Amino acid sequence: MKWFEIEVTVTAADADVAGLLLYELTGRGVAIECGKVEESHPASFSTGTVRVKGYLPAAAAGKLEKVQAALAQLAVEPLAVRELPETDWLQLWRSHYTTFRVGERLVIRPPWEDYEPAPEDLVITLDPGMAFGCGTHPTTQLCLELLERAVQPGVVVYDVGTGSGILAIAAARLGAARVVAVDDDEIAVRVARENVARNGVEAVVGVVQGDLLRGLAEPADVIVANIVAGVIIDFAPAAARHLRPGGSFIAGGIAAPREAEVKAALEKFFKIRETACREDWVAVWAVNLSGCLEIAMVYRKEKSPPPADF
Amino acid sequence: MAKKVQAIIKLQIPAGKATPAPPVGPALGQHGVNIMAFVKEYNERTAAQAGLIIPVEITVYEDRSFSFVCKTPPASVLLKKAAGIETASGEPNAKKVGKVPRSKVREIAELKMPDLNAGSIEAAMRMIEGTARSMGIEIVEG
Repeated sequence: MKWFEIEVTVTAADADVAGLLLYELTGRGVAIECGKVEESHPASFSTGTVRVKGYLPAAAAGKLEKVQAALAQLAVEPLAVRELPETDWLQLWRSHYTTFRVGERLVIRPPWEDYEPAPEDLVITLDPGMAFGCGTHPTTQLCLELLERAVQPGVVVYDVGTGSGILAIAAARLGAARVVAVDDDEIAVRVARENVARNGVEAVVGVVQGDLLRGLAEPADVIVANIVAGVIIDFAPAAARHLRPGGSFIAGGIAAPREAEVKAALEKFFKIRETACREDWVAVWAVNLSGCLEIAMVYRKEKSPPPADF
Repeated sequence: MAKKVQAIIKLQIPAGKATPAPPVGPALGQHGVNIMAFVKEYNERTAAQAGLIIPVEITVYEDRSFSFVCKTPPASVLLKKAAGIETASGEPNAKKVGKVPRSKVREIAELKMPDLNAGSIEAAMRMIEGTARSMGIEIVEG
């Protein structure tokens, strides 16, 4: 279906009425655009000008004149009427999101695309919904690449701040025996559960709504948290407590300027094994040190050499 | 969840009745936002307010994930309801279409307070009265 877009520029004080008139005349909702910079300041909404856009199906073009006449008094600039080409809006969104590869073996596929996997491929079918983590963000990719190497078959993994569930599902695909995915956001939990079911890994991945690792007792072999620098710093002690000796903590979502600060906080509990950077983002692979030290001391007492991978 | 804001989109759509058609499709589609996810979630959240227009502010992040908050109905919609009129006036100075008592204006101002940039209830009432004048609605004592 073709549409006419009617754009009226009004003072901010008249935006409300212009929106109502457009709604009454078109029978459809309206879009309101303010200046991009001003958007962060609600105060700007009561100053300056605002563009209000309404839409009429091409079949109702006869109403255009009436709409233009009704809005003329409020408009501070001449009305703009554009004919929109016929567009499948859902398809437009889907065109932004196609199958792609991360790391050596992981392949992220949206549910509406067909993909013929190679024998080594680990395919994750993902509809990101509203939640974070569709796999295109550098931090998500860095975490996926580190998980690919840190997760060994049979391990226990905690994914803290799971978002769409992408990292938890990847851990399951990589052979984890049990994955607990946590998020404090109700919508993320719902989206993650849908994605877990879509990938048929419900038996491995449990999605729970909660605050970080509160309430989880079993120690993990790998904890991944793709959140933000401040949360990673605060979370480091709890992550160390919940990891087995020698376990891996993969921390993502760290903006490059905060790398040193995060590493300093992690080094109190962990040994930094690897740092990965992409664009302005950093992910750190840290190994649980406290447990290792205790074990090393026991080995020293027994005069036995520590395991080779210390 | 390292999120950088890419865009903020403001829409006014009938509660419980969002569809991928305009204005939702063009507004969200250009930013690569999952249109169906928004439509489903908006309709669920606003189902109880059917019959009203509920403004929504959508924050789109750089990875195309998004969040949104629903606002209180526009003052114009509440005034129209209070005045019991069908449509606003296209010529508010020349053609008055209804009357609303000041007590009702206060009620609307109180409801709208969280979304208005007003320091006091009196300032909020003045904003609502301004909207009423633009609609051709007279404010009467009472």
